[in-house]
Amino acid sequence: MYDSQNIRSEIDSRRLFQALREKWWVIAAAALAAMVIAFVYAYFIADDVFEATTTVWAFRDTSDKQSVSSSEFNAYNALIKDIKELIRTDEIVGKANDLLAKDADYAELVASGKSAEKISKRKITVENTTDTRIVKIQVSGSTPVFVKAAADALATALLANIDEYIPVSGMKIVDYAKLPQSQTSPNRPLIIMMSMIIGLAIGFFIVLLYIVLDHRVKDPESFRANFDVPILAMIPDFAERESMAKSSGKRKRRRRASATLIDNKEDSGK
Amino acid sequence: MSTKKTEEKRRHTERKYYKLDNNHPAMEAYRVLRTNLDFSSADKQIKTLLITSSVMGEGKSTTAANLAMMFADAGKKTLLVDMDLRKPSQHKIFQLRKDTGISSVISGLAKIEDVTCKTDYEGLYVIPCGFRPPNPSEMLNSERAKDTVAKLREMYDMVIIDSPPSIALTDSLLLSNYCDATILIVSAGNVAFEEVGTAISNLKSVNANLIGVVMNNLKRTSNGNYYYYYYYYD
Repeated sequence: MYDSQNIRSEIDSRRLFQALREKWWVIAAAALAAMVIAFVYAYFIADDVFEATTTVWAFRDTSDKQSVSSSEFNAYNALIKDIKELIRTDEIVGKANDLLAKDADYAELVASGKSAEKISKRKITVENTTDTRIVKIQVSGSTPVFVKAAADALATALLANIDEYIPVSGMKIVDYAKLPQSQTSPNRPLIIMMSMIIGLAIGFFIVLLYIVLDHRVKDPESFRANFDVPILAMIPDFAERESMAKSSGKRKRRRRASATLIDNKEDSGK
Repeated sequence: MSTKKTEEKRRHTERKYYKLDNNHPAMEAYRVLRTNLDFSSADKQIKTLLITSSVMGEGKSTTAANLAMMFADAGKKTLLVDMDLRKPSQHKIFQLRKDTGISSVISGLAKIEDVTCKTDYEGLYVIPCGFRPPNPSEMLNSERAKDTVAKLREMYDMVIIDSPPSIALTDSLLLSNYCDATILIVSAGNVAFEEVGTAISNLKSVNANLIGVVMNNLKRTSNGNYYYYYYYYD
């Protein structure tokens, strides 16, 4: 029997599909809105970020033994860690900035007023491939010329000053930084694609919420589940039939044929 | 210009109630309803049938008109009475006068014969609402209203009574006591379970003989079919 506190309206797959069929535009609109926001962000708000990497090699010779003892191994690790930290110090960054100012390409850029960027700690990333003596110095920034010049300036400043702080046996620049051809972020296609997926998910969630909150009697099944009053007849929507007949001639013919069939059956039964 | 508009409106109304293709699924559904009503009463023959709904706009009047036509089709002398004294509509559907009607009969201003209208449909008679009284509930609660329904029951094979929605108004609850049976129209997608529940419990609380509901405005199912009557028998 009917219980106002406990309306049985479980989300079965049929109801879900029907709601999705009726409310597909909610999902489409949510996806579209998310994509528009993402488009505006990616193309008009988010700044381009470029990256350039200079590769250096450093080692410390502690003995002339061929094999590497564990203490030596630890010494390597300490060296790499020292370099990682040293490169971020004000001392090295300051010296790198001095070198950067002397860089012809970058000086030209500054002169033209397009950039006045300086190297700062948070723009520097130092990475070391495990178990090697290779250190990668990466700089991020808003122009390709700046990041290339900055990465090289940092490496050069490090090379020139490391002896003052850390005893190293040798240090070389393996690869100078290359002028980046394209920005590393924002990844515009990825942002737009992700936003579409998120939009679809939000739209789907809204439809789901709509089903859960919708307490309207939609079909005979849900009526029977809640009330013990018999259903005497089910009358289809007049307007739906008419609009449907207009929209599709093929469907109209098929339906008319089936309707005639039912009618004939009844007539012959009389 | 305005004549053209009126004509268009009239034709639209006509199409909705009269000009439906005889093979239309809705027509088939009304036929099913008629058949189910014929068989739903074993002991007492249903001769007066009240049609009500939970809320406004669920299709009471349309169903009442179409069902009345179906009974007339079946060869029964059928009367359709518009007892929705608040928002009458049968006079619009059948294009009848609206100055006199059932309200005049109940208030003793006219006789039943004077207000009964013959329609183009053979065997179908309609009594429109007539003037709208200021106190519909009191009017329907009178002995004369009860007697009028009883008299009509004697005069016709089938009397179908159109009434106001049953949640907020007592009119249909009062009328349900004068009738052999009551059916509740439930418009799919337009009414909440809570509202239908209230309507059903209201009707049951006054001991109305609620024999069933009619689901109206059903959309096609997801596989593109309408709910047909065989659905009912499973």
